[in-house]
Amino acid sequence: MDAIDPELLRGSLDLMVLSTLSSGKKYGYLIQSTLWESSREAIELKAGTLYPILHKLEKEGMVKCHWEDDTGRRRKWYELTAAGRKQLKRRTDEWCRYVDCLRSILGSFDQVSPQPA
Amino acid sequence: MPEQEFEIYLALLSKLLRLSPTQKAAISDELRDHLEQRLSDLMQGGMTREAAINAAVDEFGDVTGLALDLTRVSRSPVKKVVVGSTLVASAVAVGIVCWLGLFAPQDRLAAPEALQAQQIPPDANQNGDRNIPSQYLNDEVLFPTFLSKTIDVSFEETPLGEVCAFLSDAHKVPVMLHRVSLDEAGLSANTPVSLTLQGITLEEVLDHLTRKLHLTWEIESGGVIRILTRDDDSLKRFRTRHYDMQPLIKNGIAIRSVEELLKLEGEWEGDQGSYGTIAWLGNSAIIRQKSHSHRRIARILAAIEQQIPVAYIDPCSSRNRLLDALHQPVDADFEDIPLGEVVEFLSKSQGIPILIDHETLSDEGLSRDTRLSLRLQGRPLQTMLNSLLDELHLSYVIREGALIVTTEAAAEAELNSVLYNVKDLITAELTMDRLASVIETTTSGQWEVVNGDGGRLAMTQGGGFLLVAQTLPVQLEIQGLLDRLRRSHREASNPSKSVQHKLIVKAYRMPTEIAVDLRQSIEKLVEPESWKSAEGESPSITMVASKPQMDNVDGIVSGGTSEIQVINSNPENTKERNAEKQAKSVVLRSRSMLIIRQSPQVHEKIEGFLHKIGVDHTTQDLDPANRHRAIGHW
Repeated sequence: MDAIDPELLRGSLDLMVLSTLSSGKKYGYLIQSTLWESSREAIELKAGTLYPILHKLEKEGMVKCHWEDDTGRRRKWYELTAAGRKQLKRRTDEWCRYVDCLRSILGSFDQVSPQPA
Repeated sequence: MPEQEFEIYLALLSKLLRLSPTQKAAISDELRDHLEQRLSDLMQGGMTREAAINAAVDEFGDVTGLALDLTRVSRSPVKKVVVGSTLVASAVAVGIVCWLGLFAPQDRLAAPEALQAQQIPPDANQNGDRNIPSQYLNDEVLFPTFLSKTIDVSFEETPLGEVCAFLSDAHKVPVMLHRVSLDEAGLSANTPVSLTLQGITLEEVLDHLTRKLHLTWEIESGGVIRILTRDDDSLKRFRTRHYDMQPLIKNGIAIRSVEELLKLEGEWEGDQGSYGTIAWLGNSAIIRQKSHSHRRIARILAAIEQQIPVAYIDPCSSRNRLLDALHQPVDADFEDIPLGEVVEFLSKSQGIPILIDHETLSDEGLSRDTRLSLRLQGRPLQTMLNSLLDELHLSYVIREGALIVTTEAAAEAELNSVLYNVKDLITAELTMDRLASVIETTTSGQWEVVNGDGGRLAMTQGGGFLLVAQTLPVQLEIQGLLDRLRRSHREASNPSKSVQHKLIVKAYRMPTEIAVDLRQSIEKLVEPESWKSAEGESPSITMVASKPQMDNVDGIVSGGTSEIQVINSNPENTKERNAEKQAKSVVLRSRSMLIIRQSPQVHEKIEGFLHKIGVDHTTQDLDPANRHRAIGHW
């Protein structure tokens, strides 16, 4: 898959992280792998970027976390809070509107393939 | 067995994190879990163990950047976009630190503009004749006239109830105690207080009295002044006020960015359950805060509106006199003299009250009998105090009309807020963000974003205003720094003058412990005669902190941190990179720069001297003529 300009992704990293949690609680590494897989291996969020984002979301009350010890080592799990879910919904809608808008602007160019209906 | 390399990385990270031990342990545990899982996945994918270890650590990027990001996230009370900005800021900091080498030594007398700037308080009552009174201060609810009336007070172990009665009588306004709330705090109308000051406003009297007792005061509706405990967060203590930000737009400020400034003052929703809020309605901010914070907010806005160069936000009628004295030169020749006598001497020679905070000092095992030695000629009192107090970890504050020598910790609990107008300094090279980084990295204070605790800083977008909450000595350092920047701007715009003197500036970067020694001794060791002040500008040495250096990193810590890696079709890149690296050990060495202004001949001798004694160092030419080359080269 072609590379994506990191500048393009900058504003939406925390949205991506929130979205990986919509299917249930996850720990950091799992969030990273989920993102990698669901982006069809286009986006690898570096660990050094992921954890500050997670801690920020935690501080903002978008995610909550708890520790589990049953794997033999301490593991920190994250899950969406009600506020996080609301934020995810709001920002996803916002992004969809933005993408629609961009598509209609760029639609006349050949290299942008129109979205199948 | 846990990978030793992981443990080294995590230990280094912990060391750099300015967080509590519990927070550090939690971060280590979380990252260890990640690293170990990543290692096992990479090995399953066919990577050798060594390469997998390197790759796993490598994905976390530069350890200092990560530590800074995680610290910022944990400590920052302001909602801020975390990604990106901090890395950019730390990357430019190194370049900027070098650039500072252009400027004259730190401890020369302050430039006249600094003195002049400090004379202007953002207080309508003292400032009304200088400027059109700001609309923000022209507010009878926040700033009723009785608050600014001056009075002489002399309370010696006077019961608090009597003090209130005296103030009520003198100012014709009821000053009352919230007895229930005081009772909970173990205080009453019989609690004795002492305060002696002349020509002081009621607002300051109330501030001083309540600070001593860890209380606060409010003006209740109906104009009653009520003294109560600080933790009364009931909603009725909050007032909602409307601030029209239209006047700020004229100054080129993106008005929403003012929110960040205002949030340095007062407590806001989310911080420990208090109820300060801010909402925007067109060009107006609707702010709910306690009236104490409203007054500070109004003063900040007024100072912005009136474009005051340096505005202290806390009211203090004796500040200007004390600041003037701090800038006056003084000679000292102390050889093993008790602190008490030193302070007495300085107080007499400068004609201002300087006192010792005995109680706080004794907690640190210090007293007025602690002995000191110092020899300095013709340096400002401010420099003298910094040199004297630094080694004892002491500092000073302005309190109750006097300069009080106290512990650094106590000074840090009494931060001053100062608003700086730096519009004239901002260029494409020196953006607001960069200037903020320069301030945070080159002044001696603790900073919340860097050290996890300490001073804070916020800026407007457009307009060039910087609000800094820091200790008084650091505020004075900032003012000195801004003055040097301004002088350098002027020099740059008048190059013929700077060519006349043949001194050039070079920065020598080396391990901090060596820099400290050399700073003391180099004038004696290399061409002693050449350091004496000649015509024009004098030679000088300044020491500034530099970015720490990772020694023997051997691949554990990667160079730059790119925050996101987008995989392209060539996976070879990553493999090649990893294969080059062999993890060994990481040593973080603190480095500093000696910024030396001297003739080219003496610079050559210094260089030779450093080689001769085997100092591991790098040298950078920072001559103003080469300024643009110096930036970004480091």
